[in-house]
Amino acid sequence: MLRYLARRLGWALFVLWFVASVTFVGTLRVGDPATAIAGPHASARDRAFVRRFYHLDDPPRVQYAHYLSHLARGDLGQSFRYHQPVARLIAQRLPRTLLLGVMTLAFEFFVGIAVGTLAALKRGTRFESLILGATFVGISTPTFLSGKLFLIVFAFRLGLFPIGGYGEGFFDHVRHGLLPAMVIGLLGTASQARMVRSEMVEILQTEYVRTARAKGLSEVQVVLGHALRNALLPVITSLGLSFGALFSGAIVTEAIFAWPGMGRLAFESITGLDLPVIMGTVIFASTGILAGTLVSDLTYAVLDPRIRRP
Amino acid sequence: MTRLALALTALMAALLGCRDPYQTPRFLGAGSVTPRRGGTLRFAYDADIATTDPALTNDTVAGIPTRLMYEGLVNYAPGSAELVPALASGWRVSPDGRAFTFALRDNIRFANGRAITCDDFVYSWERALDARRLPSPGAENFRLIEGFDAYRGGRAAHLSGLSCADSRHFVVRLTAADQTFLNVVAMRFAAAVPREVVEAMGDERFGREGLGAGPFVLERWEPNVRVVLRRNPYYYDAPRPWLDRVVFELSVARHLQYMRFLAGELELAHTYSLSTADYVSVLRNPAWRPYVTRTPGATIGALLTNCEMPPFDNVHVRRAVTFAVDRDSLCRARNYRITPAATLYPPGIPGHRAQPPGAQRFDLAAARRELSLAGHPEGLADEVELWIGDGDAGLVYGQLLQADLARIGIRVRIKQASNSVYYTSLGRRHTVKMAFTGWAMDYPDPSNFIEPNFHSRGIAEDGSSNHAFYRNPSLDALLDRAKIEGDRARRLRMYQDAEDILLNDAPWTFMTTPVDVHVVQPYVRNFTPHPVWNEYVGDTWLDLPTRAFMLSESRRRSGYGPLAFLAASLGGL
Repeated sequence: MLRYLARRLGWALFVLWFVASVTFVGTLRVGDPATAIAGPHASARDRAFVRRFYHLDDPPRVQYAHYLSHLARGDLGQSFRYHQPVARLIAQRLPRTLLLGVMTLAFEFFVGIAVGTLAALKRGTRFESLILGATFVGISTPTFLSGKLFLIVFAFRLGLFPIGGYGEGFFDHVRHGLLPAMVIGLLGTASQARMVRSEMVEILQTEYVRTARAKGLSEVQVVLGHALRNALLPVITSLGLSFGALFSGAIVTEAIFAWPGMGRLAFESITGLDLPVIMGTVIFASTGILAGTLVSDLTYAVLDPRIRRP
Repeated sequence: MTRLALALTALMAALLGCRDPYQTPRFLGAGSVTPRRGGTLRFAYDADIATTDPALTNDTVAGIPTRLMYEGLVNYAPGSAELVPALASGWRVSPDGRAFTFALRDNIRFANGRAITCDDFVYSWERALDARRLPSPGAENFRLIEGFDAYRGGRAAHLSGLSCADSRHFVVRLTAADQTFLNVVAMRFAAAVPREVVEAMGDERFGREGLGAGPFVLERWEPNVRVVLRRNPYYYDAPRPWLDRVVFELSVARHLQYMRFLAGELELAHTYSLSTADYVSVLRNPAWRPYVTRTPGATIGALLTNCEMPPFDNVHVRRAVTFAVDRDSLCRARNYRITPAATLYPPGIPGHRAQPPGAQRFDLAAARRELSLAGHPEGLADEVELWIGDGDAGLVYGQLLQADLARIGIRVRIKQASNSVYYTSLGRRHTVKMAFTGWAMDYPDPSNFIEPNFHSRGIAEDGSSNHAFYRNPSLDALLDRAKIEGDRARRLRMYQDAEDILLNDAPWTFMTTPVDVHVVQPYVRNFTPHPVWNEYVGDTWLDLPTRAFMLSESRRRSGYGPLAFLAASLGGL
């Protein structure tokens, strides 16, 4: 098991180095950061000072060595634009994106299950057709469209939600996050509802459900205690897998609703050519994905000893 | 199933079509005619800010809170480009124009109550210009101060051109006379900062938590969310400011800003809060129209043609382009949020002339005549590449320009690049033949428009500021003389003569100047758009709604539950 763990860790480090190197090479080709920092109309002398100040006039191999040595010590560098450590900028914004992510997952989980279960129980009725139609629309609607639509109708015209923003204080953050979480979760909720419905339809016809009913259990006990519990297993697996998709959905939704999370930071660093922040967010996201994959690999290895064999 | 789909479609249409709840302003003023202290003014921008350190702030958005937090020796009068004393009570210029002595006002203080002396200005300026300490983007504006190069290069511990005659008199010596130096002193980079606070915090923290001597002091900054400023009780120009607080919301998308303004959650909407559709809608709405102001922006939009690269090394081809551009169609495409430009200096800048002899104009016959003189009566054989930066507006202008130039036989291929690549390429020699360009002023003086863009000093192999690579020794000499000319009227005439040279040589085709738009809530008083400082609210006050009005509004609103509100909204169909 230890050898397996060492091998997986080694691969993870190699992938991280590869991502870091590709990002570094990519940033060498995107224009002159000194122009972005000093402004498009800065004089040549000002730009030269900026290059010298940030060591942008060093040869690329010197910059690369400097970058890797700092990265190895966990230092993501200093933002050109914010004049602050990149790690601090990420730490400021990460909890906001996580809050939105948790609210989205909760929305997907509870609404998806409720709607899917009701559709399965009302099989063959107009209600089921309505649910299937609505989930079809939910899956097909892109976030940028549903985001603006929900904002105009439910926040601006009906006044049921705040008109974007982040609010002040935890409960106000949650209140402001409801509508964006619904928008990001729309696609996931629709998928979960369809999945739960098909699982429930199958399970409600099994022998053990029939036995439970024959024993005289109430319909609520049968559905919640026996059928739904088994229908949830694939839902939980797919929720875990959808966490990566949440981040990409958040980039668009954060912009529409002015939610100040990681998505905004990544977007603004790209437009402002803030190279340390671009590299920092890429490395951070890659590390997160690698850590998730590593945990998943190790879990499988624990559950299935055949995977550990060389 | 069909009926279900129809019902769903009808519901969606009803929700989308329901009555706009904010056709009229929600709150009116109390009717007071004299300024009243109090209240919070809120507005937003679709961008984040990185710092409020006056030595580092270079962009429009960060410049807004920075201007409200910091003050310098001189400033601009409210709503005008006229220089007036600020922390200085006045200034004296030596007969040779190379030494400026600023007398400080009595009893001026930072927002923490500490008295300001001459040493604070020496410290603040040296800090801003210390290249080893801060990459200040404004440093080059101060290059005429004696000892600048030695100090910037690290060869001197102090800037020799700065000194204190006594604790109340700050003296600046220049290597050459410069009539625009007072404009430089009015820039944010020259604001006073308290030494003990900066040194205790360090530069990085000072950028986030700093304080100065401006009308407001930083109360709270939530990164990427909002900046909250409160009134500085020690502001030199009491009883201003009138507002208790200013809340500046960050990274709020344009569509959200306008919705929140209509909903009464923001007091001020500006040019960047309004889409073209919102702009037309607010102008056509008689309930909002009285609260809209439109002022000419001090920015010029243009098309540059590289004078070193064929075919634009031929002046007749450049002139043909200036005649071929239909500026009215550009303005129509933006619903007249921009106005046609015929010269370099925009309205409001000293030296501006609306239609001088030789002003650029749309004249296809003249364009064809110029092309014939250039030896291309049938148009150009080769396609020309037009560079444009990020954004949709450039693409729209590019397509209109394609059509305009096609009419005289110049085929244009559009090349869109990210702004960073675009600006880097513009400054590189022999790289860009034709591109959209422009200039937003650093300070309101004609020299700031013409020198960086057309003096041959701005040409470099890489990082050129003269993007048209235009070189004319007569113009250089004229600009060098105008820079030190002491007689204001004569000086402005010299800049107008320089503009005439440009109109004749046509390195740029002047196209448009923007119209700055602001809409305020009815209870916002004395908000005058400033030609230099964006969204300056140091003179603004709120004619706050009366208590009786608020109570009646509250009763009206509490009568609506969400369902009742839905019914009321649908009732508007």
